[in-house]
Amino acid sequence: MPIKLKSGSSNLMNDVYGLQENPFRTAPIYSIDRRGTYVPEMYGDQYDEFYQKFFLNPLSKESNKQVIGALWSTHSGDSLGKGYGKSMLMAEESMQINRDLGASKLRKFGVDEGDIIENPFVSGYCTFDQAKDVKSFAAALLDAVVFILESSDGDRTLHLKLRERICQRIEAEEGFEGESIERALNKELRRYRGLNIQLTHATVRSFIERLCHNDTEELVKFIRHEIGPRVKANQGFNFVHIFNAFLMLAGIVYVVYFVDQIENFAKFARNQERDLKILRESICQTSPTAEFASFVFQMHIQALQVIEDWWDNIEHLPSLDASKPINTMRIVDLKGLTTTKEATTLAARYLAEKRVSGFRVASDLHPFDGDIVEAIRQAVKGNPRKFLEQLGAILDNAADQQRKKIDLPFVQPYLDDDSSETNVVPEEEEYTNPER
Amino acid sequence: MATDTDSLPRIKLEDLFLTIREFEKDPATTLERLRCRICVNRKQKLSGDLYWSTARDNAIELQRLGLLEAGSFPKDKKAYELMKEKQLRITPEGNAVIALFRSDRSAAYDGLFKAMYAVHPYLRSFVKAITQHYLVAPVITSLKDHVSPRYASAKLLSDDVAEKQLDTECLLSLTEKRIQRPLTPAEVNTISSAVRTLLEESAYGAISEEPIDFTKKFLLKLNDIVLPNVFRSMDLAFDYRTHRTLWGFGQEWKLWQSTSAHPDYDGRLVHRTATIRLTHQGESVASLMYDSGLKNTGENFLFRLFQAYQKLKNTYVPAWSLRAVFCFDNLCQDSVFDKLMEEHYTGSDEYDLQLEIHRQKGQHDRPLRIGNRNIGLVRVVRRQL
Repeated sequence: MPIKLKSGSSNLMNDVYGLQENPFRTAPIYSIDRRGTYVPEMYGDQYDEFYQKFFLNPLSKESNKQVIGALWSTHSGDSLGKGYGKSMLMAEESMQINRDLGASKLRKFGVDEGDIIENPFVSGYCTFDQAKDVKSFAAALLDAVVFILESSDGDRTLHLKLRERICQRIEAEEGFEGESIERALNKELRRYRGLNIQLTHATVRSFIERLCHNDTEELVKFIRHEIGPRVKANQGFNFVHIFNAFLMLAGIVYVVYFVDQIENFAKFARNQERDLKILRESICQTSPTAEFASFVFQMHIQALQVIEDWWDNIEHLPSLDASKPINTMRIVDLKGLTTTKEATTLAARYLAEKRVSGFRVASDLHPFDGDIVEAIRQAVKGNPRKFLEQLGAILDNAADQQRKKIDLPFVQPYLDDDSSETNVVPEEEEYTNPER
Repeated sequence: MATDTDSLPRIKLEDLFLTIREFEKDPATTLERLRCRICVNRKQKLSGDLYWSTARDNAIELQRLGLLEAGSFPKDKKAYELMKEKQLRITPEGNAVIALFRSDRSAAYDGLFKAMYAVHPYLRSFVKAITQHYLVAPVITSLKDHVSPRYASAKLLSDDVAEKQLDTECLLSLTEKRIQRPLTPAEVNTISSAVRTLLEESAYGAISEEPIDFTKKFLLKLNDIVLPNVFRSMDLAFDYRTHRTLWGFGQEWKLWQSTSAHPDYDGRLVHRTATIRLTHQGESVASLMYDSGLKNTGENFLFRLFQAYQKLKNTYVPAWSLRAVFCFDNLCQDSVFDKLMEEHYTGSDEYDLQLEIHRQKGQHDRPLRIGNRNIGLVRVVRRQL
């Protein structure tokens, strides 16, 4: 139980604002362990674009489904492009897709039932995380494999579901399902001549054994704690290839790997050149990954500056530069809150989560109103994270000052404070001497 | 020796226009409002007194040019507090500048050059020199390369200075190599004598200050000795800071520019990038001709680039060296080169351009950016047709 303060701010929050507590966090930064409220409507048109470019277009192809793309936020109002909800979109949508192998998503986009059954797909999310020693692409993608395996439809993990599909497809011998799958997987792996995996390697063998048996917890524990960092860095992609073959065996036709915080790779990775060579060979040249797995990287201007030197220049990986028109079909650029409706939907959803049960309000935005929400949206130039931070800070200040009614004159000074620091329209270009 | 003394404002020319446009709304304003405008332009908080001296320096220069009337100006922050609400009033000439700036920004910059030329003797001396010949300023930035090889570290220099010693002989011979001519006996004498005085004044600092901090300050002081003396015969005997201000102005006016990346010159190479015609006595500017602007330099650009590239005699050449050679050969601005490279970097039927990204930061020059990348190395290949 949280402590009860003697001051009246708690009462005001409950009795006047109709909220159990402030629903807006001071720093709403996404992590899969602290997911927060997900409001896909805030992405506006880019939500459909996200599905179109990374899922629907590839799935409409017979072969060569691979996309190497990027999820961007180039928004000019915020030069860093952070706080636009890229991580949340990638991770939350991946979780939703994995619940029913993408069926409900395809249904939403008007795909025929027959096609939905024939085109199951999955999606994984991973992030370069210095604290967790995820410093190479192989280690990061192995994390995405774990993400997919652990995904749940409510009853069981996706790992078990995939295993069950394989059993049906190969007509596994009852009581010896694990062994049957293992045999089928080894056979599948040998089909690919370019896949140079030493199947007798102790760690590889252990991984395959656990992947084929029905203990997800044990499998995840093995990947997380028993495959050492050196093996992950050197051979990590082999595990990803094995997993992709496992997916194909389960009849999965397509997988997307979302890779977050790519700039951390440039900052922390020790053997960047070697790691990038392995990345290129693994994702672009090695079957089955090169045909049916897509890789989408999270990007913002700072990340581009950090990686641009080595990405397409040194390793000739497909450019992720959002400013080049040629890349349009592989890039989704999140624009933030571009309309009042997106902003009010986002705010209302957060407020609803903490609304005191039975409290009657005239508007979903109470204690705010549409004008305030719009004023904040404009002041933060549509940046969703800043928008939520502002709402939270204003709510805390109002409660602290025992302000029963939150109106524009009360809100304005907080917005002015922000605008004087960051939201001034740059003027410098207007004054320079034009080129002759 | 410069005949008059002068005080060139340490400002950016675009700030002068930024400042004067504050009078568009109201013919009278205050220093504080000018300061706020600069803060807004620089995306800084308005609170406090940030940029108070920038606002003051711009207003002083505008008054000197007869574009506004204000009277006296604050000397320090304390005085600024008392005078920040004092009225500044635009003159009819000032209004004419605003109108010109709105209709033709290039003409406004030209007008500003002519006006500043009329009131600043140092600018006049500099323009007379640069229209006749390029300049090589032996700016001292490296202890080892520009003072003496024995100063491998800041500590070695501060130890020497603490004992009132410096390898002056080596400094003089390195300077001669860098300016590519022998120093005259008079130059040797004045530099040596000024160095001795500097050593007397700096010995205490060499003991009490951190060697790196001390060295930075000491190098600045050496520049203030060497530069005025090597340029004295050209009537450019002003301090290093004034030279730097003038180099910056030239780039803003697009009339001359400086670079430290030219491989044939171990120093700051300053050359004109337009033709400046002066009246008989050189008292005023007769005309300005931008004969190596975007259009002229853009004609046959890849051929010219190939010529500059060949001079560097290597397969892959540093982008900033190539730019320096090209700009010096064609007497154009870096910005012109950058724009033309952006337009032509895909090559042509005759020329192929191979670009490598920038791995090391250039010491003094702006990086060459093409397609959102910093370019480090360039290869120009003439195709076999």
